[in-house]
Amino acid sequence: MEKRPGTGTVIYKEGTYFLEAEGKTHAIPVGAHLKTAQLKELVGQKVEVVFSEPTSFVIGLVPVAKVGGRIPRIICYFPADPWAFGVVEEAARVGLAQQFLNQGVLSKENYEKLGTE
Amino acid sequence: MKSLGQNEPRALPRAFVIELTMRCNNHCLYCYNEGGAAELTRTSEMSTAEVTSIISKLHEETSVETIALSGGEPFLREDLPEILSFIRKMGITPVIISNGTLLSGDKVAATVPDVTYEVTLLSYKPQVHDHLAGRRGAWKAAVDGMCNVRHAKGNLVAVFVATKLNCVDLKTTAELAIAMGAGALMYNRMNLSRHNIQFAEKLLPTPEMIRENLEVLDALAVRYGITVSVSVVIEPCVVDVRRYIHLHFGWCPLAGEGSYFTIDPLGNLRICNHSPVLLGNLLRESFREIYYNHPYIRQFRETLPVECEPCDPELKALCCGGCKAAAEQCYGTPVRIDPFVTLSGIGPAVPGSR
Repeated sequence: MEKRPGTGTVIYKEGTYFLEAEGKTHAIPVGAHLKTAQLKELVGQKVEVVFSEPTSFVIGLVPVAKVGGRIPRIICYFPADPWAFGVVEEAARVGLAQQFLNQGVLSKENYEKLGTE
Repeated sequence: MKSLGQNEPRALPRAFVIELTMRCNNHCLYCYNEGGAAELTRTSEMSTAEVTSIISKLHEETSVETIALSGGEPFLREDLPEILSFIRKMGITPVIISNGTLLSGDKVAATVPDVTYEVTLLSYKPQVHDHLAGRRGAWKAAVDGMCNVRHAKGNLVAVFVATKLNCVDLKTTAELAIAMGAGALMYNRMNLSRHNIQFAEKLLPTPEMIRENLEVLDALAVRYGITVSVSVVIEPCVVDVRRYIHLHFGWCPLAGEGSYFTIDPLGNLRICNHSPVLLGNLLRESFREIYYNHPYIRQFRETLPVECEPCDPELKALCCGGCKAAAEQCYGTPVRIDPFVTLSGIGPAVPGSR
């Protein structure tokens, strides 16, 4: 999966769960961080592919349809680098920054440094 | 002692920590740093050439992918940008572990890009952060620094060290870090050492506090999509961490492939940044020679604290005896259990002892 697809579908075949995206299937490892029961609920449903690289990928664990098209932010990493960075929505970050500015925790100067994208 | 059945030969580590200096401008109450109590002078540190020679050695002898520059406070080294450039030139990913107080716009500009800044943020309340950091003004300087990193589009990881005094501030502190552009959060419960154990009663968070914190972090990971790493081991006999499915828990890599061997300011090698045991000196010795042949590494890998023997096999396989370096620090041996477990009221669980 060299280019990140927006969504994929969770499928179940012969005892193994797979992510199907862009015509390819990738086995989803089940372990301490991801239980079979969680995947079972997702079978046949579209999930967000949060990011992907040649050897690992990250998917949302809430069906896209269930949240009305809004990209779910519940993610699970496997076996992605634990240092991988999250995907905080800029609007959420800006909202928090504004809140801390209003409360006087962040100075105006620092608030402006943070900027908006 | 019980063998954990490790297979030889082991794969080589991919991450290392280099402590560039033991000098620090903070005086954190919880600091576990082995050299933190010592007054070391500039002459007690490797030169730039010596540091780069060790980086070259790691590059030649191991599968190194990441090098974290730590201290003390690494920004007290004037040659930090030069060392970073060398690391990048070797194709290695650099990380800087810093208290954030020296992250001026100029210093960030001299070190960005392609570096991850791990900066400690202890509270959203200046007085709490300053009290724990042991210095007035530390909070303001760290917050200014984190904003400078964001302004320069640098990668920021906010590190929260959990103590009794700041656990209650976690949620708002994490949100402040997110507001300042942190792309990941690291949660470390205070780790005990011979230097900070005197403050254990005052600072060590209780299992209930940690449980509440993990619930907060799990919810934040869902709400904001932020990566949360729980790095210092929380032994599952103290808190069952398996229920927090959105958090990444760190376990002792047992001096194996996933470990982060640490080199001190004089070139001495240790198993990790918490271990006090010197294995050799990389200015004179080969890493591979030490890694494959040092008897302490074998002992460290194969030792399971005696208190852990009656534990549930699933938990034992997950935890591998907790932080044995903390036991080594506090008791002088990795055969004992992490004092965090004992002080949490869980141990000792030696058969027949209770």
